[in-house]
Amino acid sequence: MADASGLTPLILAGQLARPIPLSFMRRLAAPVFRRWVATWSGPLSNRLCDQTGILSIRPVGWPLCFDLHVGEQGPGSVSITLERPEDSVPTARVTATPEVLLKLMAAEDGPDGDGAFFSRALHIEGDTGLVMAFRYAIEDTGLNLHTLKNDLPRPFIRALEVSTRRLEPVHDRFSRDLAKMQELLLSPVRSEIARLNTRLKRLESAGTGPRRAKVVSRKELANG
Amino acid sequence: MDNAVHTSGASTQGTASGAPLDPDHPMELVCPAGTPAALQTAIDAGAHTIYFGFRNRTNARNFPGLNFNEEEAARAVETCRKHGVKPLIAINTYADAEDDAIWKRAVDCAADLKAGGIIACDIGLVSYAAKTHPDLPLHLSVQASASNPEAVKFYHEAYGVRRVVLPRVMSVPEIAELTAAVTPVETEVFVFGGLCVMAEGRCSLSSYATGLSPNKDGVCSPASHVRYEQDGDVMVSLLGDFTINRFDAGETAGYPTLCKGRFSSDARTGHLFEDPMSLDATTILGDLRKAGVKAVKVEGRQRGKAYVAQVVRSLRDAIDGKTDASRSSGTTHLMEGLGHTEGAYRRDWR
Ligand code: SF4
Repeated sequence: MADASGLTPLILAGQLARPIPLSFMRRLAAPVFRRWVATWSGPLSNRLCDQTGILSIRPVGWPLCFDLHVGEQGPGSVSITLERPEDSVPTARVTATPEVLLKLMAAEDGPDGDGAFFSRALHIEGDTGLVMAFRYAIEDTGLNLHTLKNDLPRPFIRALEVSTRRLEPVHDRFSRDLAKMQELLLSPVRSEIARLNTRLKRLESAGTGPRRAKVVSRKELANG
Repeated sequence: MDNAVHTSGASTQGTASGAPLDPDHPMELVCPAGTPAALQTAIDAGAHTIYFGFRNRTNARNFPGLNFNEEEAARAVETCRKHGVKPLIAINTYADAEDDAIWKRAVDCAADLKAGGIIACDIGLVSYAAKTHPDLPLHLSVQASASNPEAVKFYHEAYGVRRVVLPRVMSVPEIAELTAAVTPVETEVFVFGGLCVMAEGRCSLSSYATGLSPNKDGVCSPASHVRYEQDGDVMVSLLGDFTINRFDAGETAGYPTLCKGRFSSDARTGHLFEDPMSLDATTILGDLRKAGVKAVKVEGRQRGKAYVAQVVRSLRDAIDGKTDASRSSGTTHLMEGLGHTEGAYRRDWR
């Protein structure tokens, strides 16, 4: 799983989408979110009924995040809004590259969120209980990218499938190129860090030799 | 303990292969399920037995959003039966002195559902179950920390306990000796998942830091007290008021379980309680079988379907002799900590 650092094609795509007004994105997403909430909030509530708060899902580099409001309209209720990350005040935050988040959500066996977390590809901040309950809820209800996609209007599904098929190879090629480019750009910095580290170690080992006892004068002692 | 579960489990769609278990090697694979979806995954992956708990303090994985309500438990027992898998219900915390109603209710419910047995540790509760539901098979939980023949025999003679789950601090020769000494009580050992180093059921670290413990509340280092903070590239994990760990950039992270933290003492700085490794005893399944162990158990009811599917499939294949059990299970990516170990079984883990 990729680390949350480093550029990826979808991070760049997010950056390019920065000028798009949030109000426009919200209008675009509203019917889709309504459908998802109608289908999923009931089943999800079974495992979220003891939770309240806002869980913000944040794709790295994107100018927006997905805020899930849990328990706002009664125990177990779930609603979703699009927010600017700088304006959102969540109870818990899950951050990863868009690629990692998509991969986790695409897994039909359920997201191996633990694996992503252990490998540092995914960061969690805030109310860990809310994150855990949400993760159990989506896994138990079978919510994943495929089931979410099936809840979309038919023409939308078709368009999504065609564009995913076309864009996937482009994304893969671009990812490889980006990785190479970053490697090239960063390798001088890495060598410099390695050189400094070696120097530091040498200095440290030189400094740990036997210390000669220092003779302290009475005057020095009196002055502390 | 009847062995029907092996043959019936193997003859249904609930197994990885549908192939019957080698009758010479009847080791039972006991798998965790935290949700009904994980239970189905464990069945599909080849579990012989599945254990789960209720949604309250009566089990040692009392995590937010996890576990089964009574209705789900009833459906789970039914699903297991349909697939020839044995359902066990974990009631493995210690009841409150002033009010043990939810623990007794859990035992009654397991009996009403005709579960394949309960896994319990509280001696009072074990006694209650034995008296009230004499037909309900009793397994002694690892939380009871019974690690010598006298203790195991006592539970067997007094309450009819049929199986004991051994603490994760014994070596293979010690297990062999104990197993031989306690026949007909069966022994079960953990072979995969998180390690708990203390005399189990007696650790108070979590209580000290958060007021909540695995023994009374079903949670060690509870999520409600966990916080992760990013300090630049460094991730800091906190439990209550305590910093448990700092993970540098690129270093694998872990849950802030107290005994797996890095601390400073006068003597040294580092992992003072235990090496933060996960258990994978796949390579010594043969030794455990030779030691007379009846069942091998996977830890991790709190883990997801991806973990359950891969770990259960890999262990089932090893047990059935389909893969080379002398190699580790290839599931390192699912493990918490810096790697895997054969734990105390080989004494190479501190
Ligand atoms: S702190 Fe460690 S040893 Fe103690 S109960 Fe938790 S996992 Fe076990």
